[in-house]
Amino acid sequence: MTNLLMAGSLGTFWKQIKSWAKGFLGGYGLVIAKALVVFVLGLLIVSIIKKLVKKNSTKSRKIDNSAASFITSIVALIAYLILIVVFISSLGFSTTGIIASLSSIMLAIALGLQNTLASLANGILLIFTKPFQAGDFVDINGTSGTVKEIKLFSVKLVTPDNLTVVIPNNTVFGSTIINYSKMPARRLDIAVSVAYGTDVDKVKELVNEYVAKDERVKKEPAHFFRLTEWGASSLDFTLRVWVDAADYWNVRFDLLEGLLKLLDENGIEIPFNQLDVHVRKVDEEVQA
Amino acid sequence: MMSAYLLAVSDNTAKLLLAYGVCGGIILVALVAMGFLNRRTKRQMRPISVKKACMKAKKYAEESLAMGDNAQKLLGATRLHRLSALVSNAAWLSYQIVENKRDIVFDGIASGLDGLATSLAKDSEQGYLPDEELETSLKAAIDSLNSTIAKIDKIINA
Repeated sequence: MTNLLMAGSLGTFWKQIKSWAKGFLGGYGLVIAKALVVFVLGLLIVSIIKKLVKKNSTKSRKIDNSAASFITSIVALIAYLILIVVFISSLGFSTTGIIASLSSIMLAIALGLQNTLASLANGILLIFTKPFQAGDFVDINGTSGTVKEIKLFSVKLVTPDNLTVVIPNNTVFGSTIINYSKMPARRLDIAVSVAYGTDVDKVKELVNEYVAKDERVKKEPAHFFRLTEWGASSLDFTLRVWVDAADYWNVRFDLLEGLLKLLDENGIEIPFNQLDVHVRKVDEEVQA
Repeated sequence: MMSAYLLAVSDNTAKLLLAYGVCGGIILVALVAMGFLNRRTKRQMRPISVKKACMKAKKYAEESLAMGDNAQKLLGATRLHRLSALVSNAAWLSYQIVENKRDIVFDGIASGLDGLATSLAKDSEQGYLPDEELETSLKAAIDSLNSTIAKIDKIINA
């Protein structure tokens, strides 16, 4: 009798399980299976996208490796977020709330990190626009130095006296950037002053001959040396020569020293400020 | 009536089985594809892959150098651009090894190849190149690739 009862209750239980399973498999089970298909296909697509973005950004000559890694991470993050939202949506849940929450979280993060994000955005712009590159000698916001590293948040310079200066990218992008290395040649300007009464043609002949002998001075464009001003105490000439950027300072120092010796050797006076005093009347007491 | 019911039930079951079968099949194919993709990526992260990429670039450079002067004049910049792309590919494979296996030795190789690819790209951007410059660029690229291949051989044989 007990056995019959047990068999009966087991049979009912089994029937209930079968009925539930049928209902599940025919209804929500299929939804889960389709959602799993969407998820696995999504994972495959995200893997392919990640690999393609990483490969192309690393190979690109316009983007350096730190930017390439960053771009790959951002693309992967966005792809995974989209995949999660699509997966949740395919399960039949509403994604409006999730998207709204994500938007609020991102807005809060953006507001909290706005200076950092500004540096990051400017860093990306620096990497793409390339106003300078590693190895260039630049002046940024009054600080001069050789660019050691360009990172996403800052630029590292090494000054001529071997100090390391780290400048945030939002400062870099907001300042005037002077790049001394961009162009291969630079013009060197030197002012030469001689005393009034000096033979101008003689000065021009001497200096032109001296400059022409220097192989570092380019023949094209030709150098310029003319009298440009009648100063208060001197005749002012301007010398303009074109040199390779790498030779700029050496040529400058050599010309300053060399021209001084040249003018001295040829008896040409380099004046200092003078003041002529004319005495009209002297009191008798003072004269005495 | 009973047979109609059974027919309807079995028809429904068949449809369900087909639906689950299709889903399972797609999931299996996707998992196999991901496994294949990972395996392919791992196979690329070996010194021999970098060596093969360097040899491919070197062969292309040698072929370009062996071309007649006329062909070089017409296609010089294009061939340099293609060579830059081949060297970039080798550099990318090296960076994969550096990133995933933390192999510091390959960092030097990767930087060298990256530098070579950049200089070839700069030369190709000039458009028309005089013969001497083109020959110099190609010879320099071949020398650099030979030295890189020798370094990789040392690593493989170590």
